[in-house]
Amino acid sequence: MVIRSLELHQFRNYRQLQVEFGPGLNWLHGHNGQGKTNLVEAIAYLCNLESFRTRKTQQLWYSEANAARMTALLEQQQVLRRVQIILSTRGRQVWLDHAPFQRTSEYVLSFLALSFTPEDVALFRGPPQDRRRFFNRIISNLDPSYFRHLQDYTKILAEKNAALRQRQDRQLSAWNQVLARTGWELIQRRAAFAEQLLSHLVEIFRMATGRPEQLSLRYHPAVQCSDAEQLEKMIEDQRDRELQSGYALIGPHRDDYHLFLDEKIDRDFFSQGELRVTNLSLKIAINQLLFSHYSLHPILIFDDLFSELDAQVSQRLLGLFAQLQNQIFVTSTTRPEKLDTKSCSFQVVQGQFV
Amino acid sequence: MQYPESLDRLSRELSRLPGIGKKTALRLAFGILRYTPEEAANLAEAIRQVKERIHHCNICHGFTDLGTCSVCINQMRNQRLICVVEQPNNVFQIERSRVYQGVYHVLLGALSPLEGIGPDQLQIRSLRKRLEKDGADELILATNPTVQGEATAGFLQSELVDLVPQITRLARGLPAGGDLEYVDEITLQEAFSGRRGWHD
Repeated sequence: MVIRSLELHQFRNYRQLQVEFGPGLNWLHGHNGQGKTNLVEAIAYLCNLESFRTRKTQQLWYSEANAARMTALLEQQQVLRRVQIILSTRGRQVWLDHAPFQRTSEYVLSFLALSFTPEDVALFRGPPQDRRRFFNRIISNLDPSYFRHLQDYTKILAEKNAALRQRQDRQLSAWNQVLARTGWELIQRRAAFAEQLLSHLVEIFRMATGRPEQLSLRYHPAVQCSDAEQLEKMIEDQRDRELQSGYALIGPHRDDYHLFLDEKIDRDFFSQGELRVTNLSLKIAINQLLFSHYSLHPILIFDDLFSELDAQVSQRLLGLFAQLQNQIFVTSTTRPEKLDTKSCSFQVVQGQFV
Repeated sequence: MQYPESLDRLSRELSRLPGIGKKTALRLAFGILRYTPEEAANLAEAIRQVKERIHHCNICHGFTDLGTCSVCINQMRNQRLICVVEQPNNVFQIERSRVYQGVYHVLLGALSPLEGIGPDQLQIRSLRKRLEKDGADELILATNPTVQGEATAGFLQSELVDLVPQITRLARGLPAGGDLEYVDEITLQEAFSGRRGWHD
């Protein structure tokens, strides 16, 4: 997927901007506070319908305005699509090819931007629901049926929790059965995803850092089971405790994921630099997986890429970018030393491109 | 100019119906205004009659204007084959297919603790009584393929397993005359896992 052109109106510090991008590497440089991150934030929003920085829409408006507009031409497998998003006090409106588009879930399954930002180090230190949310999105893009099962699971969980709160223990088993069946579909797909990702992750991490350790993403299911029947039985075993607490205690809604360098776990033992470089490797590995299985090329965004990375890693990454077929956006305070002919560079000064 | 009060009231009443929005309700209301007084009275009478005459069958809880519905009373039909559905309109849908020769049992809903619907809010006790009294050879669970419908089917299976020798669930898969193009991923997956040999 490629974003051909972008128009911003009253978005963050951009009063009005019209810009065209190259299909390969796009390098945005400039001093701090000029609007580099704001621009890639708009690109990520156009693809993912959410900001990687904030959940508060008001923060996305130009200071004196009360609405923002983003318009883009996106090229998706040789088809050009016009996307427009209007954010205002009345909420968000999405327009696809000049018609209003309501199905958010369908939208985010057809467009994808993978972003790597300084805030990302929090992903593996923060609460598990952030990780589930992130990987749910990725696995849904890989497998649309995963998304449908996830929607079902969420509905079943809400019904089951209502049954627990009302102490409706007569119908509890029926809900446990459908929960286990749908949950098992999720568990299998999550495990398969971590498995498929492994070889890409090892390769990218070695290539980027030259370090000998093996980087892996490990899926930690909340319940260890080998089929839906076993999962159901294990949930049933918790019946008394669940009735006491009033909500579902076990199941894939409690799953987690962690990164490991050999046997060292991210949360407690990764340095800031290691969290950054492993996160970066994860995003690129996901990109490789999307490409190798489904020939998908998400837009890649690397915000403030070179801060906290040593020069050697940075050099290796640039070499890697040259091999990728994705459209890539990099923001940096420094001008690129030399770029190949396929790449573009832009200088950002106070919400303007020069 | 505002709509006269009685016209406004009629269109608001009509817009409460399923599938009827504000605009359609107004169109219908204007349509009724064009009726002769006799035509309008006929419509009102039809509405009054349907509420007065249609009630739930005392055996299967489907809609009928008799005490017992024409399916339950029909001795040509297999009274030992019972198809369980969620809503009365499901009975008419299955009847249209003309392949089914058994009888029905309408639950009048599906389990949903979120909406306060438990086993006691559904016609499950009467189904149990029916099975205990008359018995059956097979129970076909034809609840909707939604999470609530699936949970209800699972519930019935475990509650009634001792009362009937065979409990089955309707198959899921591709629609007849449809195009693969329009089938969603989950239905396709189910059609794949439920595939059959050529001669089956």
